[in-house]
Amino acid sequence: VSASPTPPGANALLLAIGRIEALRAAPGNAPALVELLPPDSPIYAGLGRGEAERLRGYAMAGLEGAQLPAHALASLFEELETGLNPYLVAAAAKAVRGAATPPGDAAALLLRAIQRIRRTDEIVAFDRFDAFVHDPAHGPPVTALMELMRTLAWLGAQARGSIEAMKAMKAAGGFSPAVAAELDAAVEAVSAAAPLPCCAKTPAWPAVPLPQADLGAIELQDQDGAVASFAEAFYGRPTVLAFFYTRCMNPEKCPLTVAKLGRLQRRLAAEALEDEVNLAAITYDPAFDLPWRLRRYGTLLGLNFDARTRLWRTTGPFEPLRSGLDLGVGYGPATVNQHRIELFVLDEAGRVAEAILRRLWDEEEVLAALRRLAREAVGP
Amino acid sequence: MSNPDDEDADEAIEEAAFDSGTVAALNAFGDTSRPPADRLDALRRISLAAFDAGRFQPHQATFMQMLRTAATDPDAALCATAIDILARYHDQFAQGLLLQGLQNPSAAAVPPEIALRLLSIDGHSSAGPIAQSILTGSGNPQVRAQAAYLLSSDPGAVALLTARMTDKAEHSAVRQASAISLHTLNGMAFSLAARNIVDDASDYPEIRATSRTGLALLPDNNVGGGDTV
Repeated sequence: VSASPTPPGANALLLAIGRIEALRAAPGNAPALVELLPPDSPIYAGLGRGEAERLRGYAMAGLEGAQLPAHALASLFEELETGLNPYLVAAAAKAVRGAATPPGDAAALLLRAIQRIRRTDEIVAFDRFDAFVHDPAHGPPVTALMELMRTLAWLGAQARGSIEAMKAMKAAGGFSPAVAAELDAAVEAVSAAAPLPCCAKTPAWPAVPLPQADLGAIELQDQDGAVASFAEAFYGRPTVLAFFYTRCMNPEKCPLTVAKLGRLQRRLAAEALEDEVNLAAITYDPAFDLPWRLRRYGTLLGLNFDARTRLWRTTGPFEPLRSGLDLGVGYGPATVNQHRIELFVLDEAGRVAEAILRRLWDEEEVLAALRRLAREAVGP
Repeated sequence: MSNPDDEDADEAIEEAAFDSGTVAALNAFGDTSRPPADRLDALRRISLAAFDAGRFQPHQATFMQMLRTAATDPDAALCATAIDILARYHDQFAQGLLLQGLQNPSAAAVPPEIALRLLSIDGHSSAGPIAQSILTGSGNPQVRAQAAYLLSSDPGAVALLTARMTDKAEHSAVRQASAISLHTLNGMAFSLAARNIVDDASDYPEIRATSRTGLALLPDNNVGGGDTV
């Protein structure tokens, strides 16, 4: 493996690499590595996106063979569902193999990830952080797609529900011979795995407590420059509140979030509920996302701005909002370096009633949450 | 009307020709015993093939790996071309080489103005702090101008860009680059600086023209920027 081009003076990065290497080297450190899975972990602060993602992937890959706690799977599944960086997605697939029992939901996410990164596949190695260039002395190269297919094979019977999709993928081809061989092996392993006992299920992830900070005084500014406090903007009726930033490069994340808010707006209008609910998204990147950018972005993605539907930025520090809602966002020198998918349903007093975190959501799901909220408000 | 079987056969032949041609070009590019000119020619052919992303995907991982190897090749042209292509993929290895070169110019694979231009392709990179230090410290105006362009994605650079844009002692290329970046970053800060320049008949015509054009192109609802932080 060649030496890395890590710039001299990049102390934060070097210290972070050293810390992760120490954790990976010592047995029993899985809980400490799991603490590094959230994108807002302080270890990634100040790094560029590429550095932060590679570092997180390096930490993730150290979980292969560990006894992975159930709650760690949510972060891994988020990468498989929406990640674009082949190194990080491959690391997530590798780490899934650290689960005590193969999780049933993983196969569909792995297939989705294969389709998403197949045009950007790259050779990956996780033995060293700086293993950017393959060393033939370390054996044949392994690509990100090969890691995903190895995890499909490892899932065995838990991937049975996806076997037809795997066979169709194999028939369609378009893979290199090495990747195709891994796909063949996965199809064979899944086909040959003993059927699961009746009703075997992946254990549910532990529920996360909902944040309940008082955010009412935080000052916001909308896409037209109008200023309001969080309380003025959202209290008095239920609110669907998402987070995004206009420079997000992942079409599965922020652009999709805002586009789906637009679809939700049309659904609410069709049910004559558009005046009953606030639809809002607040940018993670308020210094860059000035009102005109918010307006242009929302308009391009199908939002019809009105009194109840707005994009917002904080005019002061973002930190009170980040800590108040326990947001999963980290920052590099100029902008966001990593973030989760985050959507909250607030009641009319601005309290978090439901949260959808780390996974894609759809309009029906949010409508159902709003209906639950309405039923609770009416009472038994 | 053509026979669908014939069409399938034609497609299969075309596919095989694409594949064998791509493999041959990859082999030539990776063959360090060949003259650099031949390898650069092979790289040009591979880059053309990569436009057909669907067909090229079985070769993508190998190509990226070969580019990373070539990025440290002793031949300067080959090395610079490989880094250029990798930078367009936001490749972390290439960004590391470019940052390293900016910090240690004697070991740089490409000149600093090229490194800054390539790093500016990725607005999420960690190049902001070094670009800020180059904008204040480099003696070469072309390099300072590229640093100013890179900072168009860094909201933390508003004050620095404003200072460079309004400094009459600064080189014209740096002032214009700073103005363009500030216009992108924060219209209100640009507007305040630009109005003063436009009104100052003693300032240079180039920067006054840039300021006037920038003011005309500001978005309609250019509000914000008067934040409490």
